[in-house]
Amino acid sequence: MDPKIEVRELNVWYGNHHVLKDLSIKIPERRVLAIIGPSGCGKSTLLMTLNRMIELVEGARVEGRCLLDGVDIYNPGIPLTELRRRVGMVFQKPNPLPKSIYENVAYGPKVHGVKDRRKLDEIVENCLKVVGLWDEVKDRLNKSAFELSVGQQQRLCIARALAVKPEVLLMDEPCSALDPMNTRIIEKLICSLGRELTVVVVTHNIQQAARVSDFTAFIYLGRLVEYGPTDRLFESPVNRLTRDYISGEFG
Amino acid sequence: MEETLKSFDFLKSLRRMDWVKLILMTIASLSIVIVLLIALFTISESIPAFSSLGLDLLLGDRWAPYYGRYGAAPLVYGSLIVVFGAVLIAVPLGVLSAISLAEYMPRKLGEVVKPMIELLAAIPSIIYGFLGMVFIAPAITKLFGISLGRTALTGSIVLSMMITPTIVSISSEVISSVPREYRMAAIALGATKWQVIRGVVIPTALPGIAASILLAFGRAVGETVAVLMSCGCVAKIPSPPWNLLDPVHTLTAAIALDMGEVAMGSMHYHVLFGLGVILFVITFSVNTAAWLLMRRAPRRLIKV
Repeated sequence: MDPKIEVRELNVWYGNHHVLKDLSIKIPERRVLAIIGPSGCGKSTLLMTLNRMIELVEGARVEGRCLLDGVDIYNPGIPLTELRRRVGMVFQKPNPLPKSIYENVAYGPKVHGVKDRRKLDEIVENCLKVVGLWDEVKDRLNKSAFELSVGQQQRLCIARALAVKPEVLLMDEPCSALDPMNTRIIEKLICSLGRELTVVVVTHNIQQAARVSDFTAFIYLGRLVEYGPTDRLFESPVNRLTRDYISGEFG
Repeated sequence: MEETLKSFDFLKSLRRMDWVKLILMTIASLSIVIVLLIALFTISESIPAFSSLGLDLLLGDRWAPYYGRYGAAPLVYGSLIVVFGAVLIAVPLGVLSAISLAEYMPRKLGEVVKPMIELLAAIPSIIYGFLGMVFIAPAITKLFGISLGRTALTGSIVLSMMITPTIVSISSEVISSVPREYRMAAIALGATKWQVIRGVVIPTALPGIAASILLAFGRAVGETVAVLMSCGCVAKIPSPPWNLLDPVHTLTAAIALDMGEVAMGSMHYHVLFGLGVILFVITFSVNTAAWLLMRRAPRRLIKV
């Protein structure tokens, strides 16, 4: 099967700081890929290169290729808005827009030209149902999104990302700000989303990677150290560094 | 020995601190006292006017103080129409400049442009008055084929130049303070830069932008010299009332023109203080409204 995303010899610099070094990886379609590694190893940077959000970081420079369905997303002719519709993103800290719950989910479709009210209603309801928020908020869709708990806010952000029908969903430590119960809910959600679309989740929580992912990539000091099916990687890591990291010797 | 020295030093610094504190407190409270005294003085001097004329002072439509007619309605109307005109011109100019300054200009360029715009606010108002008299009034005469160029519109144009910096400077500050995570959220959904600005940044910054407009309004209402030089100083409600090409007179200009020649303690004298009170009420309520709106300007709202 062709990979959904193929990264080839990717190098990223922040100013003079070389963050990602000759990184190549093939990301399979409709699976969950977990990216693990110690803080500052370049996990989040890799994620941001996949939807070109990295270009918002001042002083960032990207070299190498990054193919989405075989097309390099760094081609000058690629429309950024369409790329970011296809490759959605969920951030570490829940970041609902200062709008109502309804408007948060409807914002993406509206930006991409959906005007029909009934269609928007339908999208909002579906997406909120997918993240399990519908029953909790259906009576207060017009209330501010800030009235929700942090865990609910993060699920709202996932619903918002899903509303534009992305093919890939990038998640940057989506549970690190949440309590254990909401973490459970979102982990389950990641598992089920992995059957519909390609999910790439960055996490510093090794157990979480084991629970939610089909494949795991271990990055250390900007290099891809080991990559394989999650079960295999956790049971019999080939690289000594990987073994030390997943057994908790450093992190 | 050393111990005692240290504690002595400490005591000394404590005492010095108290002195500094005391002096600063006195100075700070002095300014409050001055404001209160000004208000008290203005109000007390206006009491004879209000008690003998009552609401006629505010609603009477004939301002002819040398004939004993003290109806300030034409002045209030003149002030408001000139200021509304100025705000109408300055708001699109100021808000769009603020957006381009905060969102589109490279940071280095913005750091040069913003102080230059703010410098416009530092130009003495008499210079703006010159500008209105010498350039804008003749231009209006030519443009509209009227005989007198000093009109409400002339005053509005001059005032708009004076208040635009206030709007630009506060609005661009508020726009820049819209949290980055809001923008990131919208950009990650595929919104274009303009969509982010229109759909996320502006709505979030709106209370602050509105406050900047109100502050500019307050400044415009109180402006005197430039208005006096460019509005024509005819105390009559234009006909029709929305005709911006008629000369008008304003509260501030009337006070400034008459105060020099009025007899101390006469009715005219007290009436001028009455105008001052009306002005006070307008600017005070506008500033309070601006302050209330400012408190709703963006803050980090996410608790994590």
